[in-house]
Amino acid sequence: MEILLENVTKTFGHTNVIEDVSMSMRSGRVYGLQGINGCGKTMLMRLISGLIHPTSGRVLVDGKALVGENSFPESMGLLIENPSFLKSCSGRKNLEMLASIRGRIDTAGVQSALKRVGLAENADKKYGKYSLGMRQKLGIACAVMERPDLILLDEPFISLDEAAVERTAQIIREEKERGALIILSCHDYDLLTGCSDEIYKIVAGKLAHRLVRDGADQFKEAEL
Amino acid sequence: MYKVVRYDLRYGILEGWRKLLLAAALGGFVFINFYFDLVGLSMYFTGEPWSFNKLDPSLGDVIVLELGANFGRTGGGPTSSFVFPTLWYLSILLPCYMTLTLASDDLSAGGVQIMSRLRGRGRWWLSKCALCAALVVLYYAALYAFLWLVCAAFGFGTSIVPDEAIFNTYFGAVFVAAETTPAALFAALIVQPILVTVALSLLQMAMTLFVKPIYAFIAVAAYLAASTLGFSPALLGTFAMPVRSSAIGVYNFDFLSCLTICAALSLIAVLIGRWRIAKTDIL
Repeated sequence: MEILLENVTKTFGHTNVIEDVSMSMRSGRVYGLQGINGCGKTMLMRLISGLIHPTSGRVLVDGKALVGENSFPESMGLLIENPSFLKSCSGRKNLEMLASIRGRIDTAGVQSALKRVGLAENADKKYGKYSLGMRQKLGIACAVMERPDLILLDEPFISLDEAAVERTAQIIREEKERGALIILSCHDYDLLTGCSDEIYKIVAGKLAHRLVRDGADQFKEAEL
Repeated sequence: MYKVVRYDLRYGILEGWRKLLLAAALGGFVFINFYFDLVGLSMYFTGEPWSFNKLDPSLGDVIVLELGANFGRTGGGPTSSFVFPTLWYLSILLPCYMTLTLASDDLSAGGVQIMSRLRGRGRWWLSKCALCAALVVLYYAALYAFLWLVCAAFGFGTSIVPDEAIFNTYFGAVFVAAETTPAALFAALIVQPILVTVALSLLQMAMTLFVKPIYAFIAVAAYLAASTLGFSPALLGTFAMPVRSSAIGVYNFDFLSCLTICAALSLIAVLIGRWRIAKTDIL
């Protein structure tokens, strides 16, 4: 999978929330997005996921622009801001129902995803009774359970305890090894550098810096 | 597409089943109102307030008297005056309220997960439309089932044929229901309000893609209120009023016109919503 952003700008009213962003991403790598609150990380993820349309420029996934009815990448797992599911159903049931839409995995696949995020023991509890951390875990499980080619994780470590943070970082590494293209935003620089191959620093909707991990496991400034 | 419709119907109804209790609550209110109306009618016909049995009231009378609405500003006859049909109004506004935020709530919740798996905004929208229509039908099923049960429990008739004497006394208007076929009567009393409410709910849901849900609800409520005053077929609520139906009286608001207009409006709502959602930024 290859994602290409060509001079993408997104405007709300008179404000450019994303301005003239061009970047290229490919499978098997983790791309970290860094920046202060409101700098445009989530908006950039929404643009890549097809949830919002660019005001100008194009988002291309494997050469095809995300437009019109088919505005979503073909194989995508998504965790953007607060995950939300049906409150009256258990975590397991929520995932099973969502998995049944594409039919790529069965109940065993759902169970495996719940186990990976450490939610297997609470899988049959109603989602409405979940703590914030458990909701976040379910959101992560939902994003990765169908082994998608593209995984977008917006602040996946929020509300997680130490063990769950380590488990999530491990999941990111495993998914990368599998060949997924992962886009990750996170305020914890150590976690971000620990998981990412490239880091884009965003300032006021623009790409300000690009850091690339080199052979010595160090991040070096690279050309945008 | 089938899977997501099944998902929406199954879990949309599961999540919203408590709202259906509103239908039973309204049914209780409707029946209490009918009971008090019967006291007046019993007094008029027999001189005694509690001689209900002599009137032989039925489910049809409950529907026509309480949910039949009115004849507009001029009333039904020379001596009738305008009375706002509150229960009829509520009976349609309630399902509109129930379905008001189906799309907007889903967009800010699990809808994003469904949409991304479907890879289609249009398919998501069609599924929401199916859920909206299903909830309206379930609401009416709950309302009529409740009224049927209460009628049976109180020893009233469970037929949907209204009584001519009660109708004439209450509305002072020409009555033709006795000559109408049961199917036509069923269509006028049961099906037409459902068709109108489905069309209004879909229009309202499409509006929520443009404006805040509360404004869409206010627009529908005002449009529906206008139906109680005027007689125009452009006021859709008219077709949901059993007393104005050609199956009950002499007014020519027939089932076929209702079906045609409601189907056209529903289709317009679905198409507008589909066009809009394709352009909407999901934030």
